[in-house]
Amino acid sequence: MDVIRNRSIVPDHWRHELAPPEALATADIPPGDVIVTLERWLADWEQLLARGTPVGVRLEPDDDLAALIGCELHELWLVELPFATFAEGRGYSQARLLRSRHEFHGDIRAAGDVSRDRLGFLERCGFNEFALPEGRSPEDALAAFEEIGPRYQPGSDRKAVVAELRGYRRHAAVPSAA
Amino acid sequence: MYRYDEFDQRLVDERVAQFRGQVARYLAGEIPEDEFKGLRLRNGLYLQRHAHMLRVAIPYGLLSAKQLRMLARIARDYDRGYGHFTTRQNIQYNWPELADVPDILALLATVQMHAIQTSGNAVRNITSDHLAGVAADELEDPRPWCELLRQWSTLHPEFSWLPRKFKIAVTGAAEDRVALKLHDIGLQIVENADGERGFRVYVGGGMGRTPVIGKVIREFLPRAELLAYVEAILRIYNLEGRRDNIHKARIKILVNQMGLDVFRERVEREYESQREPALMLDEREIEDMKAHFAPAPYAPDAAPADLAVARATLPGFADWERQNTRPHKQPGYRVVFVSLKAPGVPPGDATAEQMEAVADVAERHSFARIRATHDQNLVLADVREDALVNVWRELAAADLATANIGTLNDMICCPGLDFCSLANAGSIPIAKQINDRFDRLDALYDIGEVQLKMSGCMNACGHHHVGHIGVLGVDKKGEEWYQLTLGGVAGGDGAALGERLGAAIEKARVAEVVEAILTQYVDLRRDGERFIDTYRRVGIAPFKERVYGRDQESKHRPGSLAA
Repeated sequence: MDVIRNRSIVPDHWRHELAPPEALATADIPPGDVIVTLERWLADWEQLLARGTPVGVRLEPDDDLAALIGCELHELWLVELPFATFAEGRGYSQARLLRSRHEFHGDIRAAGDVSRDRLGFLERCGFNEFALPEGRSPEDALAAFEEIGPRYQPGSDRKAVVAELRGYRRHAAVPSAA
Repeated sequence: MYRYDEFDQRLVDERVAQFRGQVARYLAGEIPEDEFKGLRLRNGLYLQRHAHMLRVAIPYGLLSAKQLRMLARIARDYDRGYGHFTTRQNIQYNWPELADVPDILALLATVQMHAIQTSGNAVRNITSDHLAGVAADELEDPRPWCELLRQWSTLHPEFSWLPRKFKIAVTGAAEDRVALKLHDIGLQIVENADGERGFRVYVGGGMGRTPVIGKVIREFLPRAELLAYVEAILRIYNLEGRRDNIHKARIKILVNQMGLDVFRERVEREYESQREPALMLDEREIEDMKAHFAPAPYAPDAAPADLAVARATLPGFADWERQNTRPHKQPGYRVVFVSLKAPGVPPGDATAEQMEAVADVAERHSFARIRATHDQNLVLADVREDALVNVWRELAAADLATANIGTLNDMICCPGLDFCSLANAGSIPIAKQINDRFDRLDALYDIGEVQLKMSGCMNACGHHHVGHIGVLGVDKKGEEWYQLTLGGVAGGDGAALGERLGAAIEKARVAEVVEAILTQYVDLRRDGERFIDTYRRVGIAPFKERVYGRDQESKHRPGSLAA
C-alpha cells in the first residue's frame, strides 16, 4: 500500500509489529523496517537498534510522550500517531511537541482516521507522512494541502504567519522563564 | 470596526470554495454521510429536527449596517424570511437548503462574514460586552483583543479537534456583562500596581449538564502574552481533557478533576517551555488593532437633550426611554436597545424587514453599527439624545420598540423542541405562555428587573442555570415538564448558579408558577429591592412554600397557588 510522504505518493516500506513483548520476543521479530509499541521500544531499544534497520514507534494517544522523548528519540526513523476515531485530536499536540520543542527530525506519520480535511492541519503540526484509510485516493488527497493558504498561527512547518506577513512579531520579545 | 485585509479575505474565500467542493462531492455520493457531518459542522451547518440549520458568526456581536442587510437578504432569499439571534451573539437560519449553503457562505464572504467554527469541537465565536467602547465603567475596549483572538483561533492547526467545544469571552468593564465565569476561558482587562494593562484569566466555567463557576488561573497576564498563554491552556486541555465521554469532555471537568492548583502548574510549566516568538504580540500590532475600534466620530456639539416634553406628550416614549436606553460615556449620547422580545414572537427572532429597518436606523442615527447582545436583543450604541424620539418612532414602526428590556418578558430562550433535535421540551411555547400571562407592561414594570432564562434540555443553551428564574425542560414519560431554579446570576456583581425550587411543573402551569413566585417576591420585597435582592435575603424557602404549599418536598399540587 502507498502512503503520502512529504506530499508525494510512495510505497509503504514499514511493517507493524504491535504484539506485546510477552507474545513475541524482540529477538523473534523478522528482519526489515518495523514499527513497534512504545512498551517494546522502552524495554528493548538497544536490541532493536542492533538490528541495523530502521525502527519506528507507534505512540498511542494514552501513551506517555515524555517517556518516548526521554528514550533515544533521535535514533528513531519514524513516530506514528494513530487517530482511532474522528474525535481523536491529541496527536496534533503530540506531533507539535515532538517536532518543534524536541526537534525530532524523523518522519511523523498519521494513521487511522486520516480524512482529507485533516491533512492541512496535520501537516502544520509537524506530520509529514499520512497513511490514508483504505479506499481513499492519495492522488485526490494531495489537493487538500493547498486548499487554504493564509495561516494565522505558527506551526511546525515554519511557514510565515499572517501577522508576520503584515510586518508584526518579527522581533517580539519572548518572556523569560521564571 | 475591523476590516479584512487581503489575508483575511483570502482565507474566507478559500474556505467557501473548499466547502463548495465538499458539498458537491457529498451530493455526488463521493463522501460518506458520517464524514460529511464532520465537514459541515465545521462550517456551522447542523441537521435539525426539520431541516438544516446554519449558524453564522457575528464576531463579538459587532455588525455593520451593510452586514445586517446581507443577513436580511439571506433570510429572505434562502430561508423563510427571518433569522434567530443567539445567546452567543451569532445568528441562526433554520431552513436553508443544503445545496444553497455554499452560495450563502459566498454572499457572507462579500461582507467579511463567515460561519467558520460556529460549531464543532473548536474555539467558537469570541463573545464580548455589548456595551464595549461606550460603557462608563470600562477600563478598555475589549474588541481589539477579541479580534486578535478570533484570528488566532481561526482554523488553528492544533486545536481544531479539541475534546469538546471551547468558548472564550472578553470584557474590559467592571460590571460583568459577558458571563465571564461561565466560559471555558474568561478574560477581564485589568491594570496592575505599575499601571500596566493585562488580563485576569478565568478558566473552567461553563453551563451544560454540569454547571461550574470559573476560577482565576492568572491574576495578571501581561497583554503581549495573551495568545501564548491561551495557547498553553489549550494545549494542556487538548492533551489531557477527557474524550471518552462527551458529557465530561469540557475543560471545566478537567480543571475540577485535576484541581485548580495542579492545572495551573501544568499550564504555567507548559507556558514557560513554549517560548514561541510568533505568538508574542508586539506593541505596534496591538495599537494598529486598537485603531480599528477607535471611538465613533461623535458630534462635539452634542449635549444632553431636554426630553421632558416628549416624555409628557408622546404615549409610550417615556417607558421606552426608561426601559430600552442606557447611559453613554459620551455626553449627549444614549445606548439604545432594540427589543427582539415583542409579544408573540420567539425571543431573538427578527424578520428580514426588521433587520433592514435596524440597518436603516443605524445608518441614520448610530454610525451604521449594530451589536448583538447575549440576551438576544440588538443594540444601537451611539444614538444622539436629540434623535431618540425619531429612533423610537422608527423602531416602533417595525415592532422593535417593545419597552421591555430587563423585564420578565426580556427572556432568554433556546429554540427548544420546535427546532432542536436535542431538546426534551418546548421553550418557545413557554415564552408565549409567559408573555400572554404578563401582557401588561405596567405590571412588568412593577415587578422590575427579572432575568428569566429557559432551556429545552439540560445542555443549557438558554442559560437556565444563571437565570434569576431558570426554566429547564425535561421529558417525563414522553410529556414535557419543567424544572425551575431560582437565584442564578450570569455576571453583574458575581456569578451564581440557581437553586432547584422543587418538583417539575406540568407544561400548562409554568406561567402560573412564575406568577406565584413573583407574587411572593412583591409581598416580601423591601423598598428598592430587585427580585434577586429579595431572593438573596430570604432564600428559597418562601418561594417553595408559595408554589408547593407547606408540605415542602411534595409534588406540585394544583390549588396551592390560591394565594
